[in-house]
Amino acid sequence: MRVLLFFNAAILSILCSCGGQETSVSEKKVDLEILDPGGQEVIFWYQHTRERETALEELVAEYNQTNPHQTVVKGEYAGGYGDIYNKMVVGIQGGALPSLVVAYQNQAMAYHRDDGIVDFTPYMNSPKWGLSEEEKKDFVQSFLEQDYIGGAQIGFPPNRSLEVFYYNKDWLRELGYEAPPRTWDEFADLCRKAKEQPFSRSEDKGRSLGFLIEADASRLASLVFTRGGDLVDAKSSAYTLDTEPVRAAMSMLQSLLQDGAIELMSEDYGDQREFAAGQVLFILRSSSGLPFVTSAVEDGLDFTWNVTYPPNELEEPVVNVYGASISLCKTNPSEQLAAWLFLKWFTEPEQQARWVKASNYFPVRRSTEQELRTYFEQNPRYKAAYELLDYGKSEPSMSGYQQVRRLIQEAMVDIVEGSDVDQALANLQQAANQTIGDH
Amino acid sequence: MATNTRLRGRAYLVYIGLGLGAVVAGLPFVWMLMASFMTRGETLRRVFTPESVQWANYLQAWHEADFGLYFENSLIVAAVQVVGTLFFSLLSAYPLARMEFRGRDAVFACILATLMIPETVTMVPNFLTITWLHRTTPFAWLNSWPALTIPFMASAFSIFLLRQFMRGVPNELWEAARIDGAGHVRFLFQIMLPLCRAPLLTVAMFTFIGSWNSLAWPLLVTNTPTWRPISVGLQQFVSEAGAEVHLQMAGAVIATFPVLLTYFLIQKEFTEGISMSGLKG
Repeated sequence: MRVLLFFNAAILSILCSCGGQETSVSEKKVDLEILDPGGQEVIFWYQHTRERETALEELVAEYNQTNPHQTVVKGEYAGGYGDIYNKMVVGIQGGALPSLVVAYQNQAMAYHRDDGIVDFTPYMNSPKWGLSEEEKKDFVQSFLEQDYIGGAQIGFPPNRSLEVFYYNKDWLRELGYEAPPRTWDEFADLCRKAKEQPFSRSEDKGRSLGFLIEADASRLASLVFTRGGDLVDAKSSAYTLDTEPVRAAMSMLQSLLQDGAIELMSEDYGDQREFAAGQVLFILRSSSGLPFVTSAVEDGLDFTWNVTYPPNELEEPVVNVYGASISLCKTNPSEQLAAWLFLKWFTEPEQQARWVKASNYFPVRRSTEQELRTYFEQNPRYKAAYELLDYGKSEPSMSGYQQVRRLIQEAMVDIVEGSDVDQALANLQQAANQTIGDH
Repeated sequence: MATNTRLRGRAYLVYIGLGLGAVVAGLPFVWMLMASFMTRGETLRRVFTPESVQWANYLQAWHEADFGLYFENSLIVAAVQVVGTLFFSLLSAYPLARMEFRGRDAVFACILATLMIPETVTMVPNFLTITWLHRTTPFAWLNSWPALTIPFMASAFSIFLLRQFMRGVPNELWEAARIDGAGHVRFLFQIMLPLCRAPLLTVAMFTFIGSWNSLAWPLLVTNTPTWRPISVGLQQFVSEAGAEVHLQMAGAVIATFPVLLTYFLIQKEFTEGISMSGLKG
């Protein structure tokens, strides 16, 4: 029995033991020009599933067959963005990192702070392996700039999306309008009208809403950007959540909710579902959801709908542009170079065009447009959204933004449920700026 | 007579309460089942019953998300974890319940204290331990079954449950066994083990459900589908753009089936195990 107990205690102590050793990663400066990327295995963690994953796998397979360095890229589904973030956080501590990882800017900042990823700049500027001046100019500069934080290129954009305004054209006509609302006041009026006059083809006339909004920082950002505001100051040194544009956006939501003209979204993708069911007149969503909404409406009531920029109070439209980039993990110099070369290939116009067609994301290089002419003709809604790219504005890329997004979400719920807007925003501002110190 | 009427009235109230509870508990399951037979359009329009039964959803869910592989993985991982947990819990619970040694209560208190630590807190140290073992031992821990099973074989809850049951076994049995020349090992395996059938099956059930439903840990320690469980397969029907609810629900029915089957098979012992361990409340 003692032997068994000892054996049991030993095993239990192993199971319960904590700790480990971090892998030592080479810190030496390496001359990229003389580095050999040959024969490396590149692990790429992404969040894509189904059609997008299949398309990505096909591109990866082609690269593996054709690249001159015998690099083998292995794409691995690593869960949603949150799962990938968790994997990276523990992976940095445990020394179990991939070569490339999908990351939003604020996530990449956290990885960079913890020394888990490297700066792309030397790779992009390398005479031998980098991008030519012409190629650099071909990238949408604002996309690259989104990932240039604190003097380092901590991410490289493979694609982008926009937050666009979806509207039910047939219902608008029934309400006496031929065009979508261009100001927030007009939007509010239409929401109230939609509440009173349900869509004629809706199967549930008891439920009729102008707008279904998700309590989410990106949705609020759209509402604030279009009023000339921002979530951070010009130097990205402090949050600006207690300002007039934020107050106006929140007050509008609160008032519309009290009138029963809009509702807070209570289920994932509920806005798309109810839009397709003709129960909601407008939704604000990523352009990458276009194919999903298209098929959902076709399977639903098959009405006429379109996308445009959100209502705004400015002379020109403003659309929230976002999208995860790809970060280069700190592994070993040859693997890092091989990973960069794959990414460089992936963002070439020919591959971008194929990726865009499969994913419905926007390309990051201007010259890809040439390859997309037929696709634009076949997908006019995609084209309409693509033409808004020039009006893009991005959300903050501070490392604590993930935490602030949660605070914004909570504040949105509190406000639309009736809390005092001024007090809630003052508290939000204070809590958000507190995170800057924490990070 | 009046007492009988009052008792009957009370019984009716109890039945009505239980009936309502059953409806509340069962409704999501019924909805899942209904949605699994619908077209996508029907799930969007939120109808409750499908116009015609879409059996093809099951085939599509099975094939498109590679459910066959995930299903097999989940079964193997759950089986290994159940066997391991039973073994270690039994060996840990027995001395805590039946043997006298210095610090026994302190050890038990320490084990109980670990119940208060949320899983998210232990995730990082567990992962660091696994990566360290992966590097320093000849076995592949990451991307394989050991990482998915071994960290969960030391279960404080299972030890507690078995220990509570074992304490209730009459001491006379031990004394009789001693007279017959049995030691602790023989007593444990020949006398205690058959008596512990109900709590052991309860532990097995809880472990099986825990293993079957786990998602965060498997995603953390696996990078390829080779050892990934069925919960990861279910994620395939949710993308950034939206969710395919009809396929997701068909997948959920497939994923729930083994858990339900196991529960129905050991239902009696499960209830017994809970009540005899003092956990009923």
